[in-house]
Amino acid sequence: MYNKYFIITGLFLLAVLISGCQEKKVLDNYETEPTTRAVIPGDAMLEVSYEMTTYQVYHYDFEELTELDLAYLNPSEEKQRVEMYLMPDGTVNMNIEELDFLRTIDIPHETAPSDAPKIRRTEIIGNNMTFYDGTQKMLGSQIVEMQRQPEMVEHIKELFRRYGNDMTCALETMQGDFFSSSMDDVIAAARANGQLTEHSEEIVSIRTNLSEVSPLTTGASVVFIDKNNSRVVVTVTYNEQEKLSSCTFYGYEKEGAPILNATRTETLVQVPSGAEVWQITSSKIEHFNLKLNPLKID
Amino acid sequence: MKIRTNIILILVLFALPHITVYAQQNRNVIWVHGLGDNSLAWKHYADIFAAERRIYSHRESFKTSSGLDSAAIHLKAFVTSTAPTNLGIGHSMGGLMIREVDRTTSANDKRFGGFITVASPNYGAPVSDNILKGAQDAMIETAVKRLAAGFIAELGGALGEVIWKFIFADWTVKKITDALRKNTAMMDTTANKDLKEGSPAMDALNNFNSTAHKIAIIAEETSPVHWRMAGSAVFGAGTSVLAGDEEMVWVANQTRKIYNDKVKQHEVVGFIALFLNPPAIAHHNILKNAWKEGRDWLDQSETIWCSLIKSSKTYYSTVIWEEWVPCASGGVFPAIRYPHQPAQPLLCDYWISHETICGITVNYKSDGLLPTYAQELKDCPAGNRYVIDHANHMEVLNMSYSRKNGVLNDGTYKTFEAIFNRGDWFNTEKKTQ
Repeated sequence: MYNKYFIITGLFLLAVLISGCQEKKVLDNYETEPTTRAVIPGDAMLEVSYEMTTYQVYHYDFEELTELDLAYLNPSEEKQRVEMYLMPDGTVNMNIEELDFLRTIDIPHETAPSDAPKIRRTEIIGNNMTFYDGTQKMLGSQIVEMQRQPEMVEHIKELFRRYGNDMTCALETMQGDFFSSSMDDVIAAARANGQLTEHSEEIVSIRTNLSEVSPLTTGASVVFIDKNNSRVVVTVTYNEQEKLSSCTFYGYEKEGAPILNATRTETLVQVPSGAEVWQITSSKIEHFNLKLNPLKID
Repeated sequence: MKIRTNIILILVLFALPHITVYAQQNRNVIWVHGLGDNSLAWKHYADIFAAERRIYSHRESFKTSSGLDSAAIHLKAFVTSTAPTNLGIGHSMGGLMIREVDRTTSANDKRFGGFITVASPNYGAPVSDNILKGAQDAMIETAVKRLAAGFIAELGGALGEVIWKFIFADWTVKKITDALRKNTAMMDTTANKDLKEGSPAMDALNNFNSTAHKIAIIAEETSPVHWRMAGSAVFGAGTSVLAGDEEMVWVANQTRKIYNDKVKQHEVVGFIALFLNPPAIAHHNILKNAWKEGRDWLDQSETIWCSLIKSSKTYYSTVIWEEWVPCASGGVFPAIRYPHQPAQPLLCDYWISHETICGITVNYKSDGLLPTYAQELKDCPAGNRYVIDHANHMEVLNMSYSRKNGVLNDGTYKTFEAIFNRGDWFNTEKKTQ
């Protein structure tokens, strides 16, 4: 009798446990397997996905601008889900989807809204872009040359050779010694190349002349690193006159794993009258996910 | 015999009031094209209504580039009849030419008993002023620069520019900038000074009290007005599969997505670099920002265009937006102070629902070239004002494939039919089968 009771109780607890796990799995799947995915992830060497809500405004002196200038400067907001699959040959496959969200910026245009079919999702496989509407009906496709990333692939392979599965686990959990070890390597290399500046015990920066990255580009970029937490906090771009032209700040979760959760970019933009204004973009990042597939790294 | 004659006479007298006063023989309809156009402009509707109604359709190519005055003299010479039933139908500047003939002819020499202006700049074309100031050229130059930025950054400096020019020849971006040029190409003549708001020619027209029967047809386009206008200018009426205005909207929407995809590609590769290869981040940020210049321009292009044609207005108002305040100063991270850091830098790494005074530019109704207010006709009775919605400045000339919410909608045909069915001077009988 007691045995029967224990068996029933055990089955009940097992059912609760399984259903609990399944529920968790569904939540996890939301982060990695959206219903709209059409790119086969198993072939990818690295997968990245996130949802990003972006707000964009401009800072300027009203007095300096013309009416035509102001037409370039309406504030805006958007939310997109981005999935990227880096293939072993450097090809970047992507899935980008416009998402609904509670909008706060309302511009009361009086023109009747467009009745043209809206592209809701774009799927990029190789150089082939396919456009879909909200019902997943294909609207059209276009061949567009997408930049391949063979250098990134080689870099990942090199890191994997050095760190092995520590790297795989660290990327999945966003925690682990991999980050501090690899960041130490980056800092040491920059120091050896004379690119490093130490600002304080915590902060160092690595300066790169952009001509080293792209032969005909001018100016310089500086990446600021928080040594204690082994993370990049700001990147700054200067033009050839050493004038700040753009900076991007990165924010991370404060509790638990330090997952990327925000960016803020300030960029100097020129309007037709020749005046310069600051474009301020704040982005909220949710469900950030990075996954390495060791089977695809030879 | 006499009784029979009297009965007939009585019957005729009885019937007379019931025969519409406006019943007529075939009437002359003179279809007048706009600036830079020719006699083919109105062919579509002139042929349709000549077949359906008791109309003699007349069309001619007029030299419009030399100004309103000389074009009106040409029109006056073309219309030799002074029949009071003559109806002038003018598209764009053609409407002004008819009004100018009306203004400059004496009562016994009138060429038109009435007229219809269709998408005409009756109060002047605000875009003329901006074209004369070179704002249109500046806008296209900015468009090319911003749309090229991503290509040039990705391919690298001067080499990128060369390749950009090569790609530019076939790229959809060329379609976009060419279309914008075509939007105002017909305006780029000396007639511009006459069409400008407040020009002596416009003042003379609007100070004249015409006794002619008059109707104003106003075209109002659906967003995005500039691409639809450009589509009709480049692709004409289009095909049964895709109307001309829709074709350009599709090109623009696709191009916007391509730019967005490029932005997102460099954003996400930059994020990977954040964790795996920090020195490479800046490179991808530069590429992302360069593609974003083009994407942002595409997003703002309708408002930019509306500003050029003066169908927009900028207000200063408070905008509520979400702002992330990073830790970039105040001891936490003193190495850099960012340009717009908040007043309390010690509090950082938080999101705030922020209120900012922004210039908000709002687009008003237009046909893609002329704002609605410029198409209004002075002293035109309310009942004589017609609006063709979902129509742009060029599209009104042939809406046979135009769609509204996916359904074929020939707004110009419907409007002319309504006008010809009126019970007044404009009534034009259908031909009997």
